[in-house]
Amino acid sequence: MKIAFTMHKPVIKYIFLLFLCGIFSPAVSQTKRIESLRTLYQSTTDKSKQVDLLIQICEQHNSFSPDTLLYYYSIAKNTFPQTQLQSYQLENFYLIYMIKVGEGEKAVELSDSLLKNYQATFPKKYYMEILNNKIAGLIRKNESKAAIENSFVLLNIAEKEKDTLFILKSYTLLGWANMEIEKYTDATKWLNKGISLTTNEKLLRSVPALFSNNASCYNNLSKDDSALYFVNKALYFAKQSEHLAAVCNALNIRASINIKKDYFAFAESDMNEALAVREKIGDPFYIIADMGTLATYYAMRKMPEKGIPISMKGIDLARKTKNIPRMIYLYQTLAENYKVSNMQNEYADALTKIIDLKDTLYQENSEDALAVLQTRYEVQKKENIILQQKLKIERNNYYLAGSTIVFILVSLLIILLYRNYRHVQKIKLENLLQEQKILSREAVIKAEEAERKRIAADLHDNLGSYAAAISSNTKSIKESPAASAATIIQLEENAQNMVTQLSDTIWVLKNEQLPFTSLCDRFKVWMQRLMRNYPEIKYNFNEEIIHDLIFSPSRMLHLFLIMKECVTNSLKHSQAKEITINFYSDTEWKIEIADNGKGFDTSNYLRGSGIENIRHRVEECNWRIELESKKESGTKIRISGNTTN
Amino acid sequence: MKAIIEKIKIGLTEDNRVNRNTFMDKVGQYPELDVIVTATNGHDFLEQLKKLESSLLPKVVFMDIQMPEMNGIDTIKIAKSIYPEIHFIVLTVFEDNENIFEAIRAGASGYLLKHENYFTIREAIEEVLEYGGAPMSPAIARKTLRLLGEKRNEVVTTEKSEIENLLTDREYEMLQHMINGYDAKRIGEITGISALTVRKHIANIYNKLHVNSKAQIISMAHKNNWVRPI
Repeated sequence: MKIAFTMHKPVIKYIFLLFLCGIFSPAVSQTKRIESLRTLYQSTTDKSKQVDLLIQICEQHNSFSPDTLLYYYSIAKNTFPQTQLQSYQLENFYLIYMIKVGEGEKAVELSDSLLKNYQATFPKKYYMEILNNKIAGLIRKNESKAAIENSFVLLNIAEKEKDTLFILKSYTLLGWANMEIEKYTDATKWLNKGISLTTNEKLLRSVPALFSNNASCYNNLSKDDSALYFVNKALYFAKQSEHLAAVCNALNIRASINIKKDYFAFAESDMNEALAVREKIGDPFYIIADMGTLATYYAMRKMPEKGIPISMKGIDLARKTKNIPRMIYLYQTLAENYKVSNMQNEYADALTKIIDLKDTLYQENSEDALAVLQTRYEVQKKENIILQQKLKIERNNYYLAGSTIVFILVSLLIILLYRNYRHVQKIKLENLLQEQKILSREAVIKAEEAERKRIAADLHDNLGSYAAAISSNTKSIKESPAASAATIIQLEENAQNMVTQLSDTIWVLKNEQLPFTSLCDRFKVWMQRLMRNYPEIKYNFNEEIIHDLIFSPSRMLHLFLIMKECVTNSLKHSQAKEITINFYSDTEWKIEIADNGKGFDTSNYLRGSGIENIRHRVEECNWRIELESKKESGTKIRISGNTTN
Repeated sequence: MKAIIEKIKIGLTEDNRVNRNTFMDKVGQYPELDVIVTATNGHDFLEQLKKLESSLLPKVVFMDIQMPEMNGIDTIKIAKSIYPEIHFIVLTVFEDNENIFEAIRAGASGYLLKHENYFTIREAIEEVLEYGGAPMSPAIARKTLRLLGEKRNEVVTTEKSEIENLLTDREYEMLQHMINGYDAKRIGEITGISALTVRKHIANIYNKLHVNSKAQIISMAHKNNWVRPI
């Protein structure tokens, strides 16, 4: 039968096709998806497939003008065969068209009848879709209360059906409805619920309005950063799903955020892009919003000559589509422009008009907003009065202005002079501090140099004398080989001493920081080696290190040599059987060398016994030395200091 | 079968010719020691070792620390992982405690000053062969205590390997005594345990210091072809 149909009516088909081409060719391809669908449609001859494709095209209604939607709908309606479900779907598109052209009353009627005619065999999502559109219609008609009621119904069904997409759509509608009656905080509550419901990008892509409405609310609540975040997300999702209307919305919202922040360049580019897209789509509801944004922009840039005509155009359009919230918005932008151009009377008139409109709006939607209304009314009345008073004051202010300027100039002069003085003082102080720094640094360098010189001098003296001794030893061996046995022993001693001296010096020079324990350890090793020659003598070490003090290289070397001398002395003279060394370090340091030898009379010690030398060395370093010795009960030498430099 | 006094096979790795000669002079006059490896740096040493049969490896190797191309510490690290039976004694001119400690951690069992006399050298070899490690100098013992002793107070891990590296109470005690400059005999007298047991504890401490990532080093050894092909 299908074949017979096409064969018998080739002419009609031909004209039909021409008609289609006529529509399709000059039309601009708004989105890739639409383009591909159209190509597909043009290449199909199967009529039932054609209906399907036309339905798919209609689904992209957010990206073309209402008139275009009507065309597609008309063609589809007259394409047969079509199933009952397909007819039902097409009626939905007609509903959408009505809403877009502002026939709110008729739209709501149609939606009610469609809901009544819903067949249980149809998938539930179509019921929800129609309900969704009804709510949109209610909002556009400014019946926010009814819209909210119906949104809850939709939400319930969606939750029962576990349809996340329609849950999101319900939240979007709730947010939008609250937004239209300026209940921004409530609106964000609903919208955020939707946003946090899922992270599924595919779903979120279908409801970019969720984000753009949220952005708009935050913008009205002066929360710029949140607004910007959400509007960028909205833009992202809208572009992903090629939802041109949503792209426009988002761009405009972002523009108004940027205007508030004075980022005019960004705002301008966004608005231009939005306007360009909007022309393509041609939905009056949103065109008005665009005009509003533009008008605000012009007011901010002090270009009322552009702002006023655009505001008026917007007001006209809003009046035609009976959109009171939009009218209020456009009167506000108009008022802004009047203010900027100093047209006081027109400004006052605009403000009055706004109050009137708000009356209507609030009466239609909620009784309890009267209080809010009252306050706003008072505020705006006061603003009027203030404006008039301002005018009066301005006229008589020239004298005051003049004398103020003189006063300011004089005080500026005084401030400048004072600051100059302060600056000079500061520089002087800084110079002094610099000098101090340099001096102290020089002192440190000098001290370090003196230190090095001291060590070098010691080394020179000692090594020099050993080297000379070695040299003379070898010479005498050469000259008289017979007497060389003793000389060889001396030679070995001198050479060994030289190596030891070198080793000790390198030990202190190698490290910048020499802790007390380093001295203890090295001394123990030295003593161990030495005591191998005195196997009958016992030796002990005790240490108590609470805080390991740091010594400078020359001091540590000094102390080391002093200790060596004490022990050598004890071995030479005391005939002790046991030697004990105690090390202590905390806030001060102490070294005790005790033996149980024969002791000596401290008041009458022999010269050259080495004690004199030791005492001299200790005092040179500003350290203390205590000597305890009694005949037959041993000797105890205690060296201590509380500075290490 | 002739009764030969088993010569102790030793090795020397030293880059300075004068030092090498001095060592050889000291050691050469005594028949008990047989210097079978003389190398001039780490690479040379490892190459020579590769060519020796396992029964002919030296028992004790004296290793200089500062050498060109490959220094003593790195050489010990690698050699110890390929030939764990060899004992290393590092040679130092001026008792550089930092490097000595690092060498011990890398696997050395003791250190000597470069110009010690023969008897000291002999004593060190005996100590290392019989007891697994020479008693530590106070400075080295102190460093060891600082490194291993602190961990005793933080029992935060239950990994077997971590616990194995903590010091036992006896070992802790040993270290305290070595810080005080006592030798093994003296420590035995003070603590009331035999000198042999003291040395065993000391050997264990050395083992705990020889912490190396064996796997890492063995793979490096294979990569550089130091391991004898089987």
